Amino acid sequence: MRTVSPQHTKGFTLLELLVVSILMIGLALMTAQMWRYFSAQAADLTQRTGAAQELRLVLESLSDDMGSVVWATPTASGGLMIQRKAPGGQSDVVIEYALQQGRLTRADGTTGITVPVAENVSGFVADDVTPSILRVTVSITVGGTARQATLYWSRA
Amino acid sequence: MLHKGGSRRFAASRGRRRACTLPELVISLAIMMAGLLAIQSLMIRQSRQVSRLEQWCQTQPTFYVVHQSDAWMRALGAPAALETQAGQAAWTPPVTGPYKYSVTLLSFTRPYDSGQMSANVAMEVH
Repeated sequence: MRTVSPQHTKGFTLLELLVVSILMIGLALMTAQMWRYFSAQAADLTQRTGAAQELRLVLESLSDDMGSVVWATPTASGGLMIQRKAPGGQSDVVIEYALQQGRLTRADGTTGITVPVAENVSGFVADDVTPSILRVTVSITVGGTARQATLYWSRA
Repeated sequence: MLHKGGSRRFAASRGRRRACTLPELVISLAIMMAGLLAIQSLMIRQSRQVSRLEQWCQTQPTFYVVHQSDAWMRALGAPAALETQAGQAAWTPPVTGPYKYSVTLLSFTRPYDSGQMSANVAMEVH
């Protein structure tokens, strides 16, 4: 008769299994809710940081070309043409920024090489606010997130 | 039989009543509390970072490009400074205001192998 007692105490009862199952389901539901919340936030942040990264690429490229600028003027298509000193050289180079199908390109007039600067560019407009002030407006749209930056340059 | 039945009932009831002891319960609760506190601190930190990032992403920055004025820096190809406020460096004094001529660049020609450029401009006197 002693063999009955250990068998009886082994394992779980149906009630224990039910309670544990309910607790586990509740925990899984809570985890799923938290996961969905954090996933949505992560996706939104990915879009925002993507837009910020593209905008930073544009600003860095423009800043690099405007450092030794001789003159800069808007083009007829709303792009930007920059004449700048060539690094380490005496001659000047002409750089043209243009927006082509959501991609901002930088064309080097000396070498004839055109390289993409940034993707997802929804707007790139260069205009003269006054005869002495050039304004460049850059807009980036990644998914539903849009970022915009405005640059002013004084010819004075 | 009574003795045997009684001992079985005693063993069964002992087996059923054998759950966790108070120290085990306290330890498990303490571990659960530590885990919850860790998750809570992570959530607070994440929420702060997200709000800070959202605040930064919602701004529409305006930069004032200040080109290099030093000849050596220009020759080295140093990038322009992006100032967040006007009135610094090349922006003093303010360049806005009345002007005498309005010059519109109509076209220009500049060979790449030449240091000269010819332009066709329209000037309007104000």
